[in-house]
Amino acid sequence: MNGAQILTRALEAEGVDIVFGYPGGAIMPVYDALLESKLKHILVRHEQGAALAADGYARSSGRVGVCLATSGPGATNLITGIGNAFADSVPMVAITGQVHSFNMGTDAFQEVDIFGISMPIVKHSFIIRKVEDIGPIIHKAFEIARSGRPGPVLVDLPKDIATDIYDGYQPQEPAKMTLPRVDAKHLAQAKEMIAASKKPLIYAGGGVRIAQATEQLLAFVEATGIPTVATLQGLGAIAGTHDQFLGMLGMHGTKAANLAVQDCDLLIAVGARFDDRVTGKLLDFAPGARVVHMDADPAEVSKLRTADCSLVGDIRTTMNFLHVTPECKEWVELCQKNKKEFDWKYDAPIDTVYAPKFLRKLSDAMSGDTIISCDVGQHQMWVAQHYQFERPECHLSSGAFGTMGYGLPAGIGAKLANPESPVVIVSGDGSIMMNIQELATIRRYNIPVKIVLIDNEVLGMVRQWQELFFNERYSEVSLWDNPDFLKLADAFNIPGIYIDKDEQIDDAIQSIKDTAGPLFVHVKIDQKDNVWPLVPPGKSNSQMMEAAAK
Amino acid sequence: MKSNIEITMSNSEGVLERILGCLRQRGFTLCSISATESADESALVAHIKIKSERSIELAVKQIRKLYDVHSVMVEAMEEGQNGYRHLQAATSQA
Repeated sequence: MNGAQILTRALEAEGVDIVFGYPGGAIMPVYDALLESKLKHILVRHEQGAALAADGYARSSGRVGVCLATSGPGATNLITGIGNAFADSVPMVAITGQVHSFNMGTDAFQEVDIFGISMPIVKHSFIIRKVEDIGPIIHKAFEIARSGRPGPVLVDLPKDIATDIYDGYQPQEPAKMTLPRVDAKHLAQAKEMIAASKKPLIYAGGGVRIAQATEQLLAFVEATGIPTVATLQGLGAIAGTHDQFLGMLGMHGTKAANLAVQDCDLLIAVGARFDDRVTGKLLDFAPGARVVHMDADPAEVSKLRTADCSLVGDIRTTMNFLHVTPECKEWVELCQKNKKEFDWKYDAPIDTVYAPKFLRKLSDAMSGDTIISCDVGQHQMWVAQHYQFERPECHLSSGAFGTMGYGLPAGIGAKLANPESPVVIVSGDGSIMMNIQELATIRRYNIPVKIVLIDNEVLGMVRQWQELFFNERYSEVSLWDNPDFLKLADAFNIPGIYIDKDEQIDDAIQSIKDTAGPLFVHVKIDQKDNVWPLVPPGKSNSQMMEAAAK
Repeated sequence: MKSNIEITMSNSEGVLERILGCLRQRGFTLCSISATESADESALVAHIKIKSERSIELAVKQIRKLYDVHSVMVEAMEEGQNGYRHLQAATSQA
């Protein structure tokens, strides 16, 4: 076997079924080996699309996403997708072709030091120097990508190594993943703190999905009776319709969630990391609370907020040990009262489409296994606020990196990983143009995703901040010259519908449910619709700005 | 605050670059560095002096996460009238 054949065999041994990529000179031996392998290759139209599709595949399935690119610009085009995976702890193996070993370091054609360029945004990386190392390195890359706090691993493969011959490769079983159990003394301390609390609050993050701990979280929430809030990445960790769920916290969180955080006396962080979009002004975040912090990554505990009790290890087993019931009836009633009082309202009579109303209706209409793949901007926050997720794997959103252009390729990856689940891509007119070329991928493989484009002819989130914090000085946010999106979809042979009136919402959602193949739904909204509530940058979460909801 | 760290790591490609990049990005400035290969060339031991307003604990936790790092030993030091004074020493395994 040559090196490229060993590579494809090793990927098969790791259980990989789909790889996303784009061929080129230095990766050609691998593309040659793909012809005889069991791997299905999805040809994207830009390497960034490959990395983001691998991300959507991984987040929605819990498996490792794999992307392939050639050297030089092919490799650098992966970078944003790798950074996105690193920021949101997504397991990924990115394989890049490299120029011949003897040409490395000579500024050869399409040579770039991708090993060096990617270093700050990978969990680990390898340059393969010998053909016999290919198998062990690929297996190690998967183990590292999946273990502990997951992340992307880059493997750079010089072309000559991919064509060298080696017959000693033995496929390995995927490594078993284990996390340390939490120290019993710390568990006892956490239990005491919960039992003694009068105003406890659970703050669930993306770590719940990563640890596949939704069952344990639900049992913990219900056994303790503690009100619960979630981060953007934690949405769906507990069902959006659950009685004890107060909503997302943070910059665009619900009032009930943020008030609870600011007032609680015990904050139980479960797979969350006190991100600045969650805490607002850190010193004023949950000012009267003691903190119990459970996480797989010891570096996150006490990084930003000192934990009074740290529980580092497997959050699934940890939560099972904490089933105590604090006496906090008055607190629970207060949280419930706030939840009811500040609940979303969608009943104002308007003619235009109000995106939050559209999204809540979509949420009500779609099945619980529907995957929503978001882009980045106002529509992303409206999805987070108004779509009620039953499972965290159903909400794909570029959280920490905020990568515009994420939604379309990630939705493609998610649909290929979950062919039985409906996939709806919710995008904006800014974001969708960042990876619009992937409409060709949808067409090529006839991937039946539904694309909801929420179009306000503006970079809405930037416009909102310029309105609020830059004295309405609008700088380079107008997208008045957008293309005709339905003509564009038609050019890729994707059927589309257009709505701009409230009365058309129900029919559009029915089309989403009824259409078998891909569908492009162009939803025109009012440019002045903003995302509320909003905690201004640098302010405490108790200082929420609000406007009259429609 | 200046601190001395001793890091033991696999002698693998790019390992020092990875550590120095991590320190820089997390807000630590390099004062001095020396690194020695083990007799069998499989490991490197680096002695690094860094300075920052940030807690040394932040740097240590992030370096420990690097796959090639085996252990980190910290000696926190403080600038005094007569050079440097030891405050604490701690050893930890990655």
